[in-house]
Amino acid sequence: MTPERWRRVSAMFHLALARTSVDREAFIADACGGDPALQREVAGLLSAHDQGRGFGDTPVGGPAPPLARGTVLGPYVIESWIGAGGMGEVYKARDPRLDRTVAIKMLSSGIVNDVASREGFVHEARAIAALNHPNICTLHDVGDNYLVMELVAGATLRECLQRPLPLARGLGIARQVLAALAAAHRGGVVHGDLKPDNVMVRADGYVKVLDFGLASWLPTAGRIDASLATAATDRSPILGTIAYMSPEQIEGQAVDQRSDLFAFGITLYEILSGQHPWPRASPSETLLAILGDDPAPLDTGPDGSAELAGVVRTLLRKDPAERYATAEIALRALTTAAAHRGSFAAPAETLPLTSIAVLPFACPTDGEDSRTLSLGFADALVTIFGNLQDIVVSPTAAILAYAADSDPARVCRELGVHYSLQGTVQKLEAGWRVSIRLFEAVTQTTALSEDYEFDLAQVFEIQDDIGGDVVELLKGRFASAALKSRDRYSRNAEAYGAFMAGLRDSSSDRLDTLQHAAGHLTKAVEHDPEFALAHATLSFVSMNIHFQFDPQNTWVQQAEYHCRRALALAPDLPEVHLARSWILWSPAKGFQHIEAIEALERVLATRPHLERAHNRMSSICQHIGRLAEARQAHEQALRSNPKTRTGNLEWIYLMSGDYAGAEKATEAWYLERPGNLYALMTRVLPPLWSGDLDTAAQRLAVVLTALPDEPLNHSMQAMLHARRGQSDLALQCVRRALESPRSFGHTHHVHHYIASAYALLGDTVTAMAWLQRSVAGGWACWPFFRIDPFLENLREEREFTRLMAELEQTYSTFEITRL
Amino acid sequence: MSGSDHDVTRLLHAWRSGDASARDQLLAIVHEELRARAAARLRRERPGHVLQPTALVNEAYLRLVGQRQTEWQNRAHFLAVASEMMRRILVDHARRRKMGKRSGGWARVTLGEAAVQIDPRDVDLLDLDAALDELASIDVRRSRVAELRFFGGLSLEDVAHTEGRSRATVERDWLLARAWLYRRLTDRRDGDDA
Repeated sequence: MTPERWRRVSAMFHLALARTSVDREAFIADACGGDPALQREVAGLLSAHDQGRGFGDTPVGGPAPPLARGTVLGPYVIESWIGAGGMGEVYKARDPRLDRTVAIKMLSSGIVNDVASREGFVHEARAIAALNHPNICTLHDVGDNYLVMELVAGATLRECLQRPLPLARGLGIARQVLAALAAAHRGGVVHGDLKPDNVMVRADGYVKVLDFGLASWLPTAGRIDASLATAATDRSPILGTIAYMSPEQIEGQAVDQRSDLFAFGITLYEILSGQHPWPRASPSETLLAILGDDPAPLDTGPDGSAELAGVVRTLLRKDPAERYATAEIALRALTTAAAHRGSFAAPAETLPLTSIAVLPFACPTDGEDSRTLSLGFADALVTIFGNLQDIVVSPTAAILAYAADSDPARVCRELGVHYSLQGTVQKLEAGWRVSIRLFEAVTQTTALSEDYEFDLAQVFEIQDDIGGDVVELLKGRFASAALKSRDRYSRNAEAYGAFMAGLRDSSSDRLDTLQHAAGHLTKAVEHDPEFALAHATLSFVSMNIHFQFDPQNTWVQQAEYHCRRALALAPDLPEVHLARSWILWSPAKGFQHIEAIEALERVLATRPHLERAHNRMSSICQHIGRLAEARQAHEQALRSNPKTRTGNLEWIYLMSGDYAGAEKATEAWYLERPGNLYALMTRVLPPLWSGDLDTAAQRLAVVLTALPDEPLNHSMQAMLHARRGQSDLALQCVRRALESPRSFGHTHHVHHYIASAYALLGDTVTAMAWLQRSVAGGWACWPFFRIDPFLENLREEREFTRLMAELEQTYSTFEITRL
Repeated sequence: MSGSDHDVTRLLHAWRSGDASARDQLLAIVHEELRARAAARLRRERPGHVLQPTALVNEAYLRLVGQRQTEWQNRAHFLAVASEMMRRILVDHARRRKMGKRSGGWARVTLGEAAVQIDPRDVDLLDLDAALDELASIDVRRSRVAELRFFGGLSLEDVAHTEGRSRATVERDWLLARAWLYRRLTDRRDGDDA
């Protein structure tokens, strides 16, 4: 291959990677037009890219081979490998005597012999095993070269910290960690190695602190080395294992419970700010900084509270005598500070939530009826559970990706839920049978297993029965009177079948699939013109097609027509109000913020955990400068679905003027979804607004290649040129933005950027006019306009201050009740 | 031992400040150390046992540079030199072994969990070596990134650091190199089977 050829292959490969996998094939075909060999080469590399993920993540030779399943270790039988911990490999194993599943931690050779011969070992081991507290992972047994402990399913706090943690959730975790420390200290055990990697967070929010007291069995010097060694080869994109040692520990002095409080202080600092208080290029420098430097001032974001920062400062005092004397006192201080914090966290969040996913039911017999019932059962149950106050249910859209026979443990893990419900529908000689199985992730057991027989005329009653049985078992409470499935769906079999077919396709992000959905739903309302849910869903789908793909007004008209029909038929149906809010908050309707918020509030009254309603609420709140509420709605969406991914968080940071926070969040978003166009566009803004123009220019170049006729990009480029004082180029970009054939829902942002470009160039009159237009078009984030670095030149203008006061008056007074 | 703590540390510093001859001297010292340790280890190892080159490299670092010397940049640079050496030692060994008798998966590379759909999951070390050479003939830079990952276990940050490029660039290089190698290795295996 010639170097020139290789350069082309390389460029195509990276350009294609920046696209979604769906778009890739078309992109390569287009970009390699007329060169089939090149196209083959690039396509081959892309498929190798997809298949070869993880290749090379383990270097040659790799880690030591794990113990095989079935290996006997004392009385225990190894079941599977869980991971590698700081001390050695960890396995899931079974204790046949007690019929109990446990975690076994193998100890690297040497440790045990050294330790077991030590004076006082037995006494220490007994003290640790005697700890009995719900937030402490129990030590069951100590073997020759292994430890046996309680098996905890969940994610480490380190993993949770990979992305910003909602404040209330973070504080909930912190409180449980402190409670564990307090109990252990009472029992005379110092943890000695507390860090986010040793804190497990279960799917239900319950915290278990691991490895209490084990650190005392390792020499401190060995731990410093281990921590440095892992840091040097660590593959995590951020920092890797960093030091959590107190100054007295580093200096090798005697260590007591206050040392744990210091480590907890570092952990709490990370929970609040997402970063270590002494971020340094290397762990050894961090260790030095712990000894000598003050921590970086705690940035708790726009919701920061001085009291919380004060608690952290006290925990991180270098002199143990200046820290809290006990974990109990620290816990009291933390609780008080948390109660006084800003308005962001909803008090309800302290209640633990249970979560459940309902998979499409399996239908061994093929046929239209079966396919309809497969999703029909799932949707009915999702709806019933969606009405529960203290139970979060994965939305229908999220479960469609799973086959009916998926491994329930995997479903729970991937969706981050506590329970999964699976079912099978079978045709009998006379009638039908449905069997359900409710799987509980924490215990890895079946919590409920039932058969129901029915004929098709009773299908809705059976759905309600199943829902009722599960709700009873989960002790769920309904937010409002539950609608019977019979009243929700249609008794007309054709209409019902067409609706389910349409529902299956209604959450797609592809135009052709959405058009199919609209086709099926249209058939559903033709077969049964009184089918309110089908009208509402059709309205919603039409609006999504309009907003994302097709600016044609006919979609809006269709959406409005079916929404009106649905509203007349079922004025309380939450889906109707969801559809209504989508219509109200659209470019076609001039983004009616307050009305759309009201419609969403009606949805949330009956569907308290509907992720998409929370997400939309968050977006709207940003557009009118209600940043605290935007944050709160975003946290609610995260609570309903930990995997929810929008640009809301990134924009909240941006609009609060926290460009460092925005940078971190956008880069995390971009790394997670490199092909997402919104992520590509959004990541230009943090460096642009914070003045790192070269980085902004680089990112802009990338997104301009991906979306060459997107007016948002041209308007961002106009800002960049204006900021560099290149007025001709800036004006050229303004023209290009306005002439671009691609119409887009968010033109009001383009107008804001054009206003910024003119403001930077000193043309305040034109700038003001564009800003007015942006506001009129629905972008009214006045708190940001007041600090927008590019609108500096407008700040003194009388017209500007008047507009800001007006917006504040309009949007800051009304109350948003459902968040 | 061919170099004292002081020597290796000084050479690492010199190399980092741009002295190319320091790197050659380092290579010699590190090679001698690794060769001796690997040979001893391989003699002792039971057949079929997995040799852990990254563990070996870490040991060599501790011996040559010392425990107290904990500068992270030094360590990354050391690993970079060592991975080149490690590759040479492992490949030589694999070749000799192959001439003697065909056996043993001690020097195999796991493809990682994501690749379970491809079976067999292991890649022969000599194939990997040849593929790296072939990639180097088209693109030295990306081949080097892959070498550092496979034989030194360097993180992308470390590679960025030792190669003096941004992490983003290194990541892009790695993605391409990985895809290219993966394709070359899986294609080749199909060819062998046929």
